[in-house]
Amino acid sequence: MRRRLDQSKPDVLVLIGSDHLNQWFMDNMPPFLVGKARKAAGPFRSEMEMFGLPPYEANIDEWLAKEILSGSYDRGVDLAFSDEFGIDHSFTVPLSYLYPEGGLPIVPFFTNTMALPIPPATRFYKVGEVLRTVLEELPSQQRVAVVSSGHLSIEVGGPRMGAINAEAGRPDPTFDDEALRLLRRGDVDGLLRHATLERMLQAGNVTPGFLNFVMLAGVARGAGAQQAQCRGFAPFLSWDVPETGDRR
Amino acid sequence: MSRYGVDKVLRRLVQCGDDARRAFLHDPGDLMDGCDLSPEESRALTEGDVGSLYQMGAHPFLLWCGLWRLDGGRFDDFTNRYVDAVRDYGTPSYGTSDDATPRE
Repeated sequence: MRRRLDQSKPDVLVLIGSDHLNQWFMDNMPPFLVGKARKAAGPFRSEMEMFGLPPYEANIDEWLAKEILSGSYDRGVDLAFSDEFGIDHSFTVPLSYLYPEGGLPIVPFFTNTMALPIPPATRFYKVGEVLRTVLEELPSQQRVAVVSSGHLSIEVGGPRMGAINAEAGRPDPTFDDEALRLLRRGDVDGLLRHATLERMLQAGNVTPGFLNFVMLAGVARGAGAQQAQCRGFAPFLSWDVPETGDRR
Repeated sequence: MSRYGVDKVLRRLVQCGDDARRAFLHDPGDLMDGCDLSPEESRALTEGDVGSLYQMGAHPFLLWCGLWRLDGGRFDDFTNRYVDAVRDYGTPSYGTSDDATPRE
């Protein structure tokens, strides 16, 4: 994935991730939020202590963050925003693998996949579609890549939670295989029918993190993923979208 | 009863320092302030009663993280004990407003 990103030479990365109740909590939970501070740093101290994760800091492309906000408002999607926040492991882990030396500016795009009620798959898809349109119609010639963290079926804190390297890392391979098949085929209707809250919770108690991939399918306007596979319990998906002017 | 209050305490247990976690076992005071807990919820939290908290609908991610931090043990050891404690309880809803009653 890092090689593919290097080849497409993005100027900025829109990074979709889900805060794990580290800062957005049930006292004030944004379904979708764009971070528009100057810098983003993480993960949180508790995550470093529990999981041994290294710190990461990235500059934020504030202009692009504001364009995404205003462009989304114009297209019927009211995103929340924040000028003061941290990024948790859902952002810092992919960044640490893709850009270990840092350097590429980002726009963090937070989604709520942790606290009920969670927006439905149709909404994630729609927000992804709108994000694509906003990026295509930017008045700049920036090359923008959209990357998301997420997962397939997963259980944390429930009876099917296993040790990290165990098969239980994928509690519902049937859900996963069908999800990957639908993403590869670009079967949007099937994907939206598959990713109901009820079915996701049946697959594993925090499986709604899968919705970030539904959002990516929206960014791809329903095109089939070129790559959609699972290594161990870690899914890897990618889409190449057609060039738009000088951008891709 | 307040699932939200239980989740709030669990989140504090995840995020507070070691000293506050150690103190919690003897005097939960500060970490429970403003959480509107029932006596049963308070008891389950201070005793680290995983099975009861899980059945009440505590958020499973916070429950596992918070009680792991409180336990201080190794990941595998704690997780195995945790899973044993919730093994028979399925997947209770962890929404914080599922028990809200409609207004008259």
